[in-house]
Amino acid sequence: MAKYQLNINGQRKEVTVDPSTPLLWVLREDLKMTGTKYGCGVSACGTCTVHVAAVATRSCMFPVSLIGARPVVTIEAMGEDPVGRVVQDAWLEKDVVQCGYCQSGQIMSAVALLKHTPRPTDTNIEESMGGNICRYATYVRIREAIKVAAQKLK
Amino acid sequence: MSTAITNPHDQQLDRRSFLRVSVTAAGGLLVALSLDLPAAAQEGGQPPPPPKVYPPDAFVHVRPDGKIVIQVNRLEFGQGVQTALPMILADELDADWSQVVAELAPAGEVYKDPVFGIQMVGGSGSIAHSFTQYRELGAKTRAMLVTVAAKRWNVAPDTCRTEASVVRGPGGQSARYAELATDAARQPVLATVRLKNPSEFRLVGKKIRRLDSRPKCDGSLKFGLDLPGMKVAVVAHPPVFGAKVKSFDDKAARGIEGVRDVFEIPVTRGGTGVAVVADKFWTAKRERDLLKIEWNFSDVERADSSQLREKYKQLARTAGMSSVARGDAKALEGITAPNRIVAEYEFPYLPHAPMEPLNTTVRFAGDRAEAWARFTVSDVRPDGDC
Repeated sequence: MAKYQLNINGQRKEVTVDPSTPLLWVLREDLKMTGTKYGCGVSACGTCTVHVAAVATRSCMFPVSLIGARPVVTIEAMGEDPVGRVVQDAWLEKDVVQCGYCQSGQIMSAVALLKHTPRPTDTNIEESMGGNICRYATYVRIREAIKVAAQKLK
Repeated sequence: MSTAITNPHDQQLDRRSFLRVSVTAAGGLLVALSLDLPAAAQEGGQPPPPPKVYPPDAFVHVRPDGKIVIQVNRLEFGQGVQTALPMILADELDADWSQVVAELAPAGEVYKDPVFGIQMVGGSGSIAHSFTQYRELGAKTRAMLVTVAAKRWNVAPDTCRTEASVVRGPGGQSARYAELATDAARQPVLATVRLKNPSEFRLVGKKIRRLDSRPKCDGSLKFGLDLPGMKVAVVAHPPVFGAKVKSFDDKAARGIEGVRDVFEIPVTRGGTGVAVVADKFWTAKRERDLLKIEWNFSDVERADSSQLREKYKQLARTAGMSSVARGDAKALEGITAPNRIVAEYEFPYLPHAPMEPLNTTVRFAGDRAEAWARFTVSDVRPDGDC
């Protein structure tokens, strides 16, 4: 067990966990932030995506011991984030979700994309979102919603 | 006060059913479907006290604050039933859609699929089987609200119109459903009610956004794994179906902080596995991976893909069970080449493959147990089977 000082959604959090513990489980179990979902556990589905130093990161395989001072941002902060809010609203406008299980990760990947590339092309979207799987294949609506958000953020 | 009348339109239910209305402790109109209601609660009998808790058989609650809470008798997992069934009820009720709240109904007799007779989702039957059921619930609730308004204004009910949770009278009168709800709960339920002509639908057949999108976009919707205060169990499954644990060494796991128990459990097809229970998932998973397990394969069927395929082919040529028979299959035999096409189709095993891992949570509180799981069938029998 080791003690870690983390910056989560702008707040300082202290946890005492095994150094191998993935960030996902620190968020979900130690910090009780269950908006980030557990899908495959091997970085293959994108469901657990969060931002670590503004980079879309699969939290299920990212050990807490490697985070250091880098800020972590999760779905719980998106309502207060200027880009996050617009993306969430675009998701509602395009009625993207079905079961919803992958959508926290989809939205985190979309926000990271738009912050880095405000006017993404279809290729940009496919490259950035390709690691986020949806069992309901909501991909077409996701692409439309990203374009709606990009338009609104202009 | 409570009233009940047998409902001739609910004959598709295999038991006698009644609509029951009541005032809730918080006020408003509550329409519930009851099965085999005791005579004392029927019209003319002693009125039962208003329920202190939300009755488990309620379908629609017109609340004094204007919200209309509709219970959905099926599980939502992306197919949209949590929006579609409320649309059907709200349409006949002429409810203000922006005030409609959908809730997942608990397990209960009245929430069984009217055709299947069990509480389940499957076979694309949700709308087909519950369309009339939800329409009638909406139409009868509306009729009670209209009756109260018509009485207040001393006009005939059929001169009143309804729209967006408001009753409008012939002389320009208007009253919100929320104001009428408590009095409506004292009205008898009509035995029959006119349903809308499809041309009158305001919601059914229209593109309406899902009611459950927001909590699925901000991470606040709770899935089974998101419940607080859980212990977590993960299972080391046998490498092949039917294999059993010969022995296991849990010394490494036992020494770890947060591991609560390690034990052998039965798993599918007669096999056994080893469960690790811990305070947290990562502890349980890590320690499961550290288990040293010896497996007994002695009674395990040796499955072989090519042999299985041959077996299936032979089975496919046997008579089998006839589930549907249309036309004359024998006529095919008279067709000669080159018009005859013979083909064999092979399908792989296709799981549903949802993103959410298989999981079940059970919360025990005294003599109650609340189960959260990825069921498609939410009836739970006393023996624990689903």
